[in-house]
Amino acid sequence: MTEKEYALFLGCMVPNRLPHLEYSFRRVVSHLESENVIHDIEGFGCCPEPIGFPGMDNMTWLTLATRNLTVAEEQKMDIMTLCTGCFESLKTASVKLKHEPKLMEKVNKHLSKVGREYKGTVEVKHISQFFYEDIGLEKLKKNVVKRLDNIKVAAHYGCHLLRPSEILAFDDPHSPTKFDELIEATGAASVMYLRRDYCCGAGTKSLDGNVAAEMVMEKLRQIARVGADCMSVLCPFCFLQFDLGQEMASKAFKDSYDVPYQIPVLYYPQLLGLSFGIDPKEFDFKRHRINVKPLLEKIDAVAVPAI
Amino acid sequence: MKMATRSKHIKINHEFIQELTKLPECEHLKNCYQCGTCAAFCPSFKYSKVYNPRRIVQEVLVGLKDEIIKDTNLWFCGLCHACTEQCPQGVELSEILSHIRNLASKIGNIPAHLVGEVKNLLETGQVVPPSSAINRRREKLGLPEVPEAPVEEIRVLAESTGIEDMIKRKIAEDVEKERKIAEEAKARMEKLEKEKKEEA
Repeated sequence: MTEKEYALFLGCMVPNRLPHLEYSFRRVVSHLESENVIHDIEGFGCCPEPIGFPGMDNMTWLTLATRNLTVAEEQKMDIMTLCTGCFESLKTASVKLKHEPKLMEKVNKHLSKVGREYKGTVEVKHISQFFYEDIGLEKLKKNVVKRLDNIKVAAHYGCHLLRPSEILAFDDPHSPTKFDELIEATGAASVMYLRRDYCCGAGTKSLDGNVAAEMVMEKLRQIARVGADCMSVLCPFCFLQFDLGQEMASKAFKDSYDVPYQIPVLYYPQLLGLSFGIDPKEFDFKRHRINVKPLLEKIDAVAVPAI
Repeated sequence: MKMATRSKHIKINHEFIQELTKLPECEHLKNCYQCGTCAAFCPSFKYSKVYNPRRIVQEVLVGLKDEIIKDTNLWFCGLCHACTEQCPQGVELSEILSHIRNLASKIGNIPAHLVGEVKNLLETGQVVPPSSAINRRREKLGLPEVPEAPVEEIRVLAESTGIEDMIKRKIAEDVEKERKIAEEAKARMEKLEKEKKEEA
């Protein structure tokens, strides 16, 4: 059986603003010796973002997303995304067009103006699916040399991986477990907390910073309540919202809340990489606004070497 | 006992309701029985207090097209899809809201940051544009160069779907508004100065 070949879809937020997140993914993949199935190809543009863009014009959103699909289709590859927003945009386009041939016709009519045509063969995955399905929990566990047994991680699935579940079909939308399993492969405990399914608020940030800040604070409050050592995310927008956003919200709410929260935020590949024993210096953690050092010190103090 | 009087007669826009329910992705719109589960789960409603998904559907079902598409609060929704996922009747709230937003965009009801997004897209092919500072950081991390996005292809498609024109119109409208405001301010200043001189 031949392995699936993936075109890595970088998106725009990760490569153009948070390159250290991209690094963590590439580093972990090379550690797992799976880089041969992931390819960097030319021709991708913005996914485009699935929150405001479809509101301006649905057809433009679908057409530009499908354009990206044709870029991968030309190379006979599937797509793997770093960002869950890109995942939603691209997967929605591929699923909708598969089920509505008339829609595919309309989109292809626009694409013909740039000499492109989508034939409907591209599958879209997010990197969490790559870790879960292609690599598998067993292989991940085998590569763990520093078991994070005493670390409590608050998983934030976000919205664009789970919903709308009819289209994205990643996991159960109400009680998902896959991200928890991925976290627990490192030995860490994925803790339950209220508002686990809540949105991070990034979608409202540009319109009203206060609404977004309230959403972030609500999540942080609940995460702090259960004593989590850190939180883990799968999306760069969620990352920014909880990292830089945590700093900003803490300042904005400094009179209302007793504790400015200091909950470090890790993109999943960073957490995985730490459990693989990769030197934390490689991950450029100084880019994080919320200090990761206390977490690293705790990991060094309590991590159990895997036998 | 005070009797509630209806001072405003609502004219139901049946075409609007038909327009939406005809779309395959909005086919369950009429199933809504206003239970409010969507609003209960909506984080934007909880914190903004002005954006209410249940009310939007109610207004659609009553056919208040003109009022809805002028509402700038439509843009509070972060498309987290919690409403769509939780609706017991299968009402496709996220799709319906997206379509309403499309109609709103056509009359110029577009928030400034989204106009900015399209501008970035047409200039760089990406909504978050590249920068030399980040490119230097990429180099230090040993990451490959990000391939340039095919801006010309994207522009041709934006022209084909009409979004380029729509945004250009919106920008022109905004510029015209600013110009009018500046003109009126200038006229007021001139009037005040004239009155001062006459008093002196």
